[in-house]
This record gives sequence, structure tokens and C-alpha cells, in this order.
Amino acid sequence: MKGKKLSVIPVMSAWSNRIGRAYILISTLISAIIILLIALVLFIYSWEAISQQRADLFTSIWNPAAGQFGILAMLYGSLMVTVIALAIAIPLGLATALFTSEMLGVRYRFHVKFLLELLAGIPSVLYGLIGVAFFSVWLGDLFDLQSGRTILTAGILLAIMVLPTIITLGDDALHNVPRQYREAAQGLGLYPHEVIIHIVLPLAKTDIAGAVLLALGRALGETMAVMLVIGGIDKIPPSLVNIMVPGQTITSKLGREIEETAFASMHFSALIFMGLALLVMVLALTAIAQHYFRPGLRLYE
Amino acid sequence: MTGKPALKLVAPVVSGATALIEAEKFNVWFHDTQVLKDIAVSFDKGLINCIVGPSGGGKSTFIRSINRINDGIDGFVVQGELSFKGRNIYAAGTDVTQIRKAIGIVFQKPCVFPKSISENVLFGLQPLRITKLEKLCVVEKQLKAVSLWKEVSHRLNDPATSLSIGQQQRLCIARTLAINPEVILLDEPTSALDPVSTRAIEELMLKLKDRYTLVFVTHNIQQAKRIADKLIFICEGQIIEQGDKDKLFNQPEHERTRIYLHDEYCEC
Amino acid sequence: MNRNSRYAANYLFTAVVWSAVIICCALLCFLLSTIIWNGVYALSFKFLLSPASGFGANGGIIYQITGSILLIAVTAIISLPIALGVAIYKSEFLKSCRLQRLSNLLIYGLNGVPSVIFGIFGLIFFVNLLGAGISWFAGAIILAIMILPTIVLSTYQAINSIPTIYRESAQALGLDTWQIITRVLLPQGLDGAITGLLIGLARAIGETAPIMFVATAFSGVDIPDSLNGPITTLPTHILALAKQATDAQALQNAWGAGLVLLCLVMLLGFAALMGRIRLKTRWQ
Repeated sequence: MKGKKLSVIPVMSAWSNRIGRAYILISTLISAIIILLIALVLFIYSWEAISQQRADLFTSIWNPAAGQFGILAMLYGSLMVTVIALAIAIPLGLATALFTSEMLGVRYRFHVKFLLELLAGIPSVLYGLIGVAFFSVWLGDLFDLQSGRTILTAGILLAIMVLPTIITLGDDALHNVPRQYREAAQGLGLYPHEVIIHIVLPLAKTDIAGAVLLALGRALGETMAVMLVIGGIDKIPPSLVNIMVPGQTITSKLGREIEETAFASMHFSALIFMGLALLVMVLALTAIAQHYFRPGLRLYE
Repeated sequence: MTGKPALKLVAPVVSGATALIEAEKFNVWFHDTQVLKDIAVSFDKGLINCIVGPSGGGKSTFIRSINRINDGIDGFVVQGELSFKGRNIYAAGTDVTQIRKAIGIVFQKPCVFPKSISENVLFGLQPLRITKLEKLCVVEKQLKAVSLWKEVSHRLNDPATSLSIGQQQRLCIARTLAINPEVILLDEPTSALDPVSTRAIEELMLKLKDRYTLVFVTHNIQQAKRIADKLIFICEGQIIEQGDKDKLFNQPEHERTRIYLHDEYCEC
Repeated sequence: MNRNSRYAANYLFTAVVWSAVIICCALLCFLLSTIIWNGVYALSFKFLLSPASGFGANGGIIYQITGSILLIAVTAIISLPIALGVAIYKSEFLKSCRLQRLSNLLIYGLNGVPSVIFGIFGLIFFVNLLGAGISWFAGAIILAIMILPTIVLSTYQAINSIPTIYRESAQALGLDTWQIITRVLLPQGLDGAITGLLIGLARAIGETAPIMFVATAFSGVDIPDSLNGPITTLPTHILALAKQATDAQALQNAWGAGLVLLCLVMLLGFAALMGRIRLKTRWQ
């Protein structure tokens, strides 16, 4: 926050002042309430599942016809897809961010950033389209699978989706390190890679962590692209590390099934519970990222 | 990692008798603006070579060009001869890192790394494959060299940012000494400091000049008078006059030198 | 202190970075060129200007284009005034640091909510609780909520970057609070708001998940004549076609719709980025 800023002294006299203030207050209230309302609505409608299924929710069998609503398979799918996506995107993205921030000339950096921000805006359904038209076919052929729609496919697709975000945020994080630190380290006769490893990366690490958390949140919450390529089987593979099989994530499950269930049934409630679990995870990540991004926590000023 | 600056060899490699660093027709541009014009100067061994001149005259640009710190700045172009021990610093294929190890630099604002005091001293010694005891020896030796040992010996593992600004600057010098350079460039090292710290740094420079060649930029003429051996007066990107300190102060050849050295407030 | 090994390490490091850059470039180029190449192949005036038929496999996408544009236009009308109010409150009235942090948490929290969550929220709240049924207007409200944080933050930054001296000068001239807001802060804040709005709309126009349970239907929809009733948009159309990926004709239409969508997104994104550059250089 800005330390000392003169704010407008609220001397309210004219009627326009009052209306203006009411308008500002109301819009603030609306936006503050929305997120609480979303959480509340999800909680109320998942209460039936929470109160009746209890621990049965955390089993691995999802079979609405038999009254079994275990969400572990979806939880596993979401986590696995996210882990794969980040395992690919973080090294690639950070290395590229190092390039744009440390090696690329200032003039080009601007254009590259511009392009990356445009790329980050490509709608996810287009990624899904590329996923079904190319990646799933290629992966199916490459590994000789029955279907190329697997957890791995979804992971790779998500990795490409979050790549522009990671590059551009990582670049910002590295660029925030003041130049004098680099010059001081260079002046001591360090090689460029030593300057990066010993000075730039440690100084940028909180910002980088924030960028990674943001990407993690995006990957966890992504729906359309994943839904199209993951295959849609609610099972945890017998071997946990076998990622070349179809799976299901929380988001793809919601996207596929929620319209087909009766409103306020147990099935519906269990689906909403999954949504609530996702929301809680993503909000926790956001809160942690906020904590990291807090300006006072910077090592340098 | 940045593009090689355009380079034109004008003079053949010169090997001076005692001059460690020599510049001949040395020009620098930032984009289209020429900031240094036909600089010709030599820095002699074991002396305090002091560059004075008004702000914005190109003093810092020149000193930062000597160990190629300016390479990282967009639009930086050099032309002409700048040699260290007879070898052109800007020759193609030069290992910049080796140049920087031999020519250390201390900046205007102390820039300690957000690490402990001892880590800061050892920072230039990469990769660090020496024992704890050896490390301690290096730290003690260098901190003693900058008269900081007494003040910080009991808290070597404290963050370096906890030191006062004057102590930080001395730590920066200690850090530079640890890589055992032959030349130390000091870019207005005292301009951010209080009088007491300034005095400590000045005394330190006088102590160091036997073992190292010092190139020292200042815009404080009294300071130049106190500690310089050789004086170089740079104004608007050109060397107006250079030579022995006493000569420049007492019998300057140029009117501008005389005016500047005796009336700090004048424009040059 | 082996100099050669350090030199080699630097070389290796550079090589690793370069290979990552090449892989990234290749992936991103593949992405763009695929969409453009396949899309151009499917595009024609007839495709752009005729309605879909045969479950999208035949015909064009005129109602999808009008639907998408109508939806984001209404989204903009709903979200902009609210966002302006929030941004002014945050920048001029909210003084305590703790409340600032709370408001940041709420805004970033809302920004982080996965789009499918907005979808199920809309399904419960608008479709069932309020009994609106499938309504494109409810979809616009959901999208407006979704892009609210983007606009608020952008506006807030624009207002907050106005140097204090301008507020002081206005006060010294005897302007009251509301006059200062409307004459000094809003003209500057509006630029930030428009920039944020464009970024938000670029995101909103490509979203499928928040509106697919609430506002859209796949076939047999044209331009809605009331606030109720379904709408059809480019992303939902692409989704439906992508599900029938084995049908070559359907896939080709999906690519065509994809390119049109990409162009719209890029147009909004480009305008937003230009606006942001203008903002950044304002007070310098």
C-alpha cells in the first residue's frame, strides 16, 4: 500500500456527494459479498453429501446408481494432471524467462512480452480443440494406446496453456531484481550463469514462487481443455504412476455431469462438494500467493 | 551474453612502462549520443588516479567501461583502444570475467548482497571449494584490510544489510579485495556516506595504494586534493587536462581547469 | 578455482536455456500456426454470414458471432460501473492497511475462482434458485462477476498512480469530494478501467465453462429477443464440435469458428495492451 497518501476528506455536503458515496459503497458491498455468496451456496448445496456420506466421500468408487460417491479418483486426476503440467511448464518457462530477462536485449524484451501476453489470452477451448485434433492422436500413435485421451495428454496440454503465464510472470519477477546487484556481482568477476544462480534467482525467488502458485491455481481450475482430452474414466489407475490411461479431474467431471443430474439430489450434492473442494484448494493457493506477493516481504528495497 | 559492441582498432597494442591501463582515442556512445570523446589517458601502477569533473560529464561511464560493466546497458557502443597490461579490453574473444577479476569495482551506492557478512566477503571466490578454516582466514584478512574486523568480528553471520551504510561500503571494498585484483575502480565511493565514513574510506584508499592501482572518481574537489596522486579532469565527455595533482591545482594549463578546481559551483 | 570448468559450466547453462527457449518457441508457434492454418482453410464469407445447420457440421456461425458479441457487450455494461465504484472506494476511502489487505484477498480470491465454479454457482443461483431458467442475461451477469477483479485492479492502479499533488491542488481550489472524484480521479481512472475491461472481455469472450450450464444452447438459437432465453456463442459452438472430432466437416467448422474467436480475443487483447502502455508512460 502507499505509505502516505492524502485522501479526499469526506466532507459531504451536496446531494451528489451522498449519491456518489452510496453508489461507491453499494458496488463495493456487492463485489465483497459475491465471493462469500459463491462459497456459501456451494457449501449449502453440498451439505447433503457432507452430512450423509461423510467419510464415504473420500473413497475411490464413484457409482451414483449404487449410491457411491467417492471423489478420490477425481482428486487424483486433478492433482496428477496439475503435477505433470507444472513439471513440464516450470523448467521450460523459467528458463525462457531467464532468457527474456537476462539475455535478450531490452528492445526485444518488450515485443516478446507483448506477444506472450497475447498468447496467454488464447481461450482454453482452442487448446482443447488442438488437443483432440493433434495431441491425443499423436500420443495414441506414439505409445500405441487404445485411446490417446489420457491423463498425460491433459497434462501436456495444460503445460502449454500455462507456459505463457509462467514465462511472463517469471520474467517480471527476474526483472524486478535491481540492476545494481547484477553489476556488483559481475564486478567481482562472476560468470553470467553464476550471477543468475547466486544473485538473481535467490532475489527473485519469492516472486517466482508467487508466479508458480498462480499457474498452479490456473492449472487446477482449468476445465474445457482438460475435459476434451482426458478421456473421462472415474478410476484411479492400478499403478498410481501410470499416466497413459484415461482419467477424470474435478473440473472435467463437473463439466460433463452436472447438467445431467437432478437438482438437489445426492448425486448433485456430491458433485457440488467436489466443486467446493476445488474452490477451497484454489482459494488457499491464492491466499498463499498473496502472502508471497506482499511488498514488505521483498528482500531488497 | 550481450551483442559484441562495434569495435574498431585504431592504434596498435601499446605496452607502457608502468601504465597498467591505457586509453587511446576511446569513444563511447549510448545509442546515438556520444558520451566520451577521444579519451587518451594512462593509469599508473601504485598511484591514486583521481578523475574529477562535473556531474554528467562521463566520469562514471568511463570508469565503468574499464571493466565492461556497461556491456549490459542497452545501446552501449565503444570505439578505440582501451588496454589493460597491453591487451585490448574490448578485443573480440576476451574473457570478460577475467578482466573483471583483475579490475575490481566499487560503486557509488554500496550494494551488499542480502546474505551474511562473511558470505559477502567470499562471494567473488566462485566456485567456493575451500575449507571452513580457510574461509575464515580470508574473511578475517579482508575485513582487517578494510578496518571492519573489530566492528563485525562477533557477528559475521548477521545479514550484511544490518550494517551501517559506511560499513556496507567498506564491506564492498573487502569483497573486491578478496578476489585479489590488480586495479580497483572506485566510482564516487563516498558520495552516499557521512563524513566519518568518508574519512575511513579515504584512509583506507591511502593504505591500499601501495598494493593496488586505484582509479577513483569524485566530484568532491577537496577530497581529490587530500588523496589524489594523479588528477584527470573530464568535462562534457572530454579530458580537459591531466597530470600531477599539484600541477593541476597550482599551475593549470587550461582556464577551465583552474575555474573548476577553485570554484566548485561553476559550470564548466 | 578451475577457470575452464567455470567456463564450461557457463556454456552448458547457456545451452540449456537456449534449448528451453527453442522448445517454447516451437510449441507456441505450433499453437498459433495450427489455429491460423486450419482456420483460414475453413473461412469464407458464406461461413461467416450464414446460420449453423445440421448440429453445426454444416452452415456458418453468424449467430455464434452475434451471440458472443452481445454477451460481452452486456457483460461490459454490467461490470464497468460496479468496478469503478469499487476501485474508487479502495483507493480513496479505504485507509486501514488491514482492510486493504482484506480487500486485496477478496479481489484476488475472486480472480482465482475457477471458471467452472462460476458455472455451477450460476446453475444453482440463477437457473434454479431464482428460477430464471436458461437465460443469456444471467450468463452476462456471471461473466461480469468473473471479470470484475481485473477491471477493479486496473482502475485502482490508474487512480492510485495519480500524484497526490493533483488531489491537493483540487482541494485547494475548493472542490468537494464528489467533484474531485468526477473531475480529477475518474478521467484518469477511466483509462485504467477501459484497459482492464478490454483484458477482462478478452477473457470473457473465450470462456465456455461459466456459461455453459446457464446461458447457452447448442442448436436452433438465433438472436434472443428478451432477457430470458438461451444464446449461442463461439466457444460453446467450438466445444460442441470438438466433441464430434471424428467428423471431418464438424472439425473444419470448429477450426473456422476457432480462428474467428482468436481474432476477436487478439483484437481485444491488443487494444488492452496498447492502452496499458499509454497508461504506464503517463506520469513520467
